[in-house]
Amino acid sequence: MSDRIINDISDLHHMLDAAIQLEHATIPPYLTALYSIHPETNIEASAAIRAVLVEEMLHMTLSANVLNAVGKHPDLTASDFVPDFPTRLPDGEKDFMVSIDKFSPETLDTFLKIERPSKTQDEDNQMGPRGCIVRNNHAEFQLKAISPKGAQEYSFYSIGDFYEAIIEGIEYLEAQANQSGNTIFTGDPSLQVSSKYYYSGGGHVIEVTDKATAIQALSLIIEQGEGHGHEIFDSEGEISHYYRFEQLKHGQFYQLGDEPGNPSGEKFKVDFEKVYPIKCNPKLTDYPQDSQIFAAAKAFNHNYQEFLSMVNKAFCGEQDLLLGAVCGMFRLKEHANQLIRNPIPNAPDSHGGPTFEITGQDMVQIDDDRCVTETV
Amino acid sequence: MDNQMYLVQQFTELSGALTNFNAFALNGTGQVQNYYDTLNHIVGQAIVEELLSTFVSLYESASNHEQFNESLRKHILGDEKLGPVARNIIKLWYTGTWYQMAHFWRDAYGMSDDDITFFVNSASYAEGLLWQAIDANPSGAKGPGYGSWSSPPNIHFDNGWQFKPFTHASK
Repeated sequence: MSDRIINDISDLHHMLDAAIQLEHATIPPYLTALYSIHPETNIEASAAIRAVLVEEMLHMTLSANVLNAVGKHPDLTASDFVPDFPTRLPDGEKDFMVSIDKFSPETLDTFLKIERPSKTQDEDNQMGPRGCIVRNNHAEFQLKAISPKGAQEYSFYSIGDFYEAIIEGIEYLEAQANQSGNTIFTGDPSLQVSSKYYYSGGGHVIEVTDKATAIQALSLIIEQGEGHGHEIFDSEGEISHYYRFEQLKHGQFYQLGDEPGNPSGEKFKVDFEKVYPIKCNPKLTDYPQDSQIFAAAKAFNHNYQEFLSMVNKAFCGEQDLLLGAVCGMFRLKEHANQLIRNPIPNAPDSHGGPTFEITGQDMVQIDDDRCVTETV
Repeated sequence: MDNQMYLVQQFTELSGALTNFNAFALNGTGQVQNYYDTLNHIVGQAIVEELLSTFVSLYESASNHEQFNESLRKHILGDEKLGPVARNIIKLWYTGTWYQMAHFWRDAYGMSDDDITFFVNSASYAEGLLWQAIDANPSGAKGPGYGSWSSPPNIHFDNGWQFKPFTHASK
């Protein structure tokens, strides 16, 4: 069995597709938890979740740039692109599931698991590819779960491990290609999303045209997420997602020089009571069909689907659309807030929330219609 | 349902009738309880309960929207005591601001030193219904997205308040 997870270009495409799906899969849970917090309360918790959420959008864009650079378009409109919550994450952590839920101690624990740092080498006593652990519950992974070819029982322990494997794959494939005078960076550079189209969203977007910029982009994702080598702050003094969330458990900020687990900065309160009691993993079928909340949740899903379709086009050469998509995002936020602040009729102890039931069906329909019109 | 919840629910319905935004839209601002508390704090519980019970009896005795509006105008908006309070509720919802009651009303019914013009809280300005009514973003408070001003406003009134004839079974 090879220790390498990526052995050819289609493995790399597959991994990057999963990366985009993975970054996106964290957005509904983060967004819902953020908007579940009562206005004007839990300022520190809101700021932490918002900062992470925005960086996930950057990570999605960076992964899309890398995928375009190695010759494949992302597909955000695939029918299985948005997971059915609760879900496993596409990089295959086997010990937890991710839900659309209100901000709570349990939700915070899940967020910490999503962003957890890689195990250090000596902790990692499993045999098998680096960063991987044995997975027995394969059937539970509904997403395009990634595992080494020929070693299906392995999956990644952390998102950082997953990206390290991608970097390793790029280095291996590019070295091979270079030997015969080729490169894997065959994508059209005009497809890259640059900072002209992507602004104030969690950092600078990196245009990917070669190995160096690809590694730069993927390293930024690792650094912002779990931090490199268990560092709390990165080289620019920004705190990583994991420690950002961990501060909420301690009710205290980290400052430079602190050791993990012992923040020494300013203290603050996290009030889990000041949260709308969203129904966990809500589905349209939870809402009475003749209710406002049903209509609003359905409209939200439709708008979200259109939004994804627009971002998808932006990742396929129509970058201008990203500027308009920003307005769409603010609208989605308003609609999500409305849902979350309303009790479910007949179940007033539970509030509504966006269900993110996106099948991809309507989008195909829309595109087909357009093609027909254009042909005529 | 306890009495407090019942009163807040009636306040929401009255607000809907006065603003023409339904409960879904009003709840969506996250301000129902804040405005209810503000109102009670400033004009006092007795007047609020009088206003709400007047509203409920008008609602229950009307058989259609037109008849209801007619009696709302006559018995609430046209009432010397309740009218100014009802108009303040409209302003409160549309602007997030409590406006000081008129002098004549303060002389006759007012007793609160806190009856001054103020924003209810820092979120209430941005949650004002006026922004929804004209599909514009509250200046300096919510992100519209760069260039959003170049597209026409997208105004729709699918969150209007509706009169539903009262039946005892629906309670």
